[in-house]
Amino acid sequence: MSKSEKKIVLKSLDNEAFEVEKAVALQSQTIWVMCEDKCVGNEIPLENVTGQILAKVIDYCKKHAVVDGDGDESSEELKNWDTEFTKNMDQSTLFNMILAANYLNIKSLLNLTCQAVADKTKTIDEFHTFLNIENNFTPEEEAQICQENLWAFDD
Amino acid sequence: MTKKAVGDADIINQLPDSLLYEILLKLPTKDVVKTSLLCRRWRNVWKSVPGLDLDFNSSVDFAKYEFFDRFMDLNSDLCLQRVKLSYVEYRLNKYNEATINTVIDQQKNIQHLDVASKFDRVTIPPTIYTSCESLVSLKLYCASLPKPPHKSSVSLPCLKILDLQQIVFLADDNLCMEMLISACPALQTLTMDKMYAVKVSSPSLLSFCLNKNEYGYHHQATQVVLDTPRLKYLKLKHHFVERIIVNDLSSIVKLDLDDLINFGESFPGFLTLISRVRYFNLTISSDFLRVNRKLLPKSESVIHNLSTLSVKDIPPLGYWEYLLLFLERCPNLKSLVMGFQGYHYGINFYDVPHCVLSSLEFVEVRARHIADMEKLVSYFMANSTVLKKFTLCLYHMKNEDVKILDRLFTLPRRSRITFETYKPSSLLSCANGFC
Repeated sequence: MSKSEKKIVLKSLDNEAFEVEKAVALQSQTIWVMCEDKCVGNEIPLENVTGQILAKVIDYCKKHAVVDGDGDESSEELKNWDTEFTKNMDQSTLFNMILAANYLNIKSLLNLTCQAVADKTKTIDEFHTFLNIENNFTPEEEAQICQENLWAFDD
Repeated sequence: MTKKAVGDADIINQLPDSLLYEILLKLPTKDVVKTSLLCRRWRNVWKSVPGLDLDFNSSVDFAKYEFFDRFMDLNSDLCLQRVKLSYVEYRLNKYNEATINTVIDQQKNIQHLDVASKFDRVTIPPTIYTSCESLVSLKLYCASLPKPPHKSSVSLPCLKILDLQQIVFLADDNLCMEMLISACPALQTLTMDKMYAVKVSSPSLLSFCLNKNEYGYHHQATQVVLDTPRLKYLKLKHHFVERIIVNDLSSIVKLDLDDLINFGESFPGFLTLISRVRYFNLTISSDFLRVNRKLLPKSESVIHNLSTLSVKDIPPLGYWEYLLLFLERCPNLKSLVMGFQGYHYGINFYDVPHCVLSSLEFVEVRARHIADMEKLVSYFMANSTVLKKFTLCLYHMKNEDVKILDRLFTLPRRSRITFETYKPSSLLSCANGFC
């Protein structure tokens, strides 16, 4: 295989170009389908992902690329890497990562980023602050909602 | 979807519902229900999450049983994908059994089922084998399973992950287990415990873990028979494997024997098998080396392709020699990870095999105190000819230790070695090495 066939260029929404190994990019089912269709050249435009997010996605894919067929999903080292990867992401980055993982169809990344949001929103207050949601219920409505599922609000 | 990057403020509202559900599927149902109180948009979101994660901790917890019934009515169109039920009370009752039966009998499209009981075994209905065709992952803890029907009647075509612990079958355990495994054509990951004579026959299996049984039995010998041509990861945590019969381990990339103590007479045969593996990583405990040391000289095998060796729990005295004996058989070892307990003043380096010093590129030492490890670090730094990186993982760091560390940093080194230190997240993960 020639060198050019092994590499692929991903172009972000804001026209940033990333040259990556094909094996790295093909973890995205979306890119995989685009390559199969052969309707694209070596450059793939990704209209829903900014360069800043795409760079992170590529970092993830590089780490998870299967080396010599020995990718060990369960390894402690990889899990630690994943935890560190999402640990310091702010909510806007995390949500943009979720959107990107969904659009690019990378199941493990979608799983990881959704888990990271879930981990950061264990209590209702965390939900309010992390998700930036303003409560627009009247006290009466609130009382009624609690009453409907009292068991869930008993602590 | 808009083509602009989504702004900070309202980003959660830009997520399509399907992605909101993805997030909420990771939370216990109790927390999901609480989101109804967030704001008007979220008032009914919880009702559409295609998953249920409930724990029943009291048989008089009628509100929860009542909620369960309501939730199942909401999902009578069979859209639940994930269900996790935990029973944490002493005595299971008819309500508990009703919940599990309802899920298995009604939710035909369920993909992930996880049932755990803390005390009594929960009874799984026979329909588990026939009516959950979409099941991808089945995890049962402390349950009793009916005898599987004939292979042709079992319908688990997509099942990839099977995790059965503290399980009894209502018939011969070993036979039922074999029948179940052979009736899952897509099985990739199998975890189990407490089988005295395990026979695993699966052309699709990639990963197999035999755990030790938490309640007794673990000193009882077991036999492991594997007919798994694609197996990549093998983990044996059982204390005493009396016999291991494996035709072929050539597809293995990772072998974890960290809690396995005794291999009995099958040890030389096992060494012969692993000496044929193409390339792999091995984790063992120092007890494993001690117990099997007498059998080591009986084997001629040289493990040419062992690339990473991790040794857990090396105790203060005596065990170092056993490790050296084993290292002699590993002429091409690239990485060596050693987890030490306590003090190690008595390490004798005369017998470190030359082949190891000339092949090791990465050494990692995990210990409690730096003072225990000073000699060891200096030795490897000065004598390993191709060493690239030495990592020291220390749990305790006192002020005077900094001086020792400074000294280690300026040690004479044979090659261009990177020297790094880090602190583990817990003492346990340090002493035990590698959980």
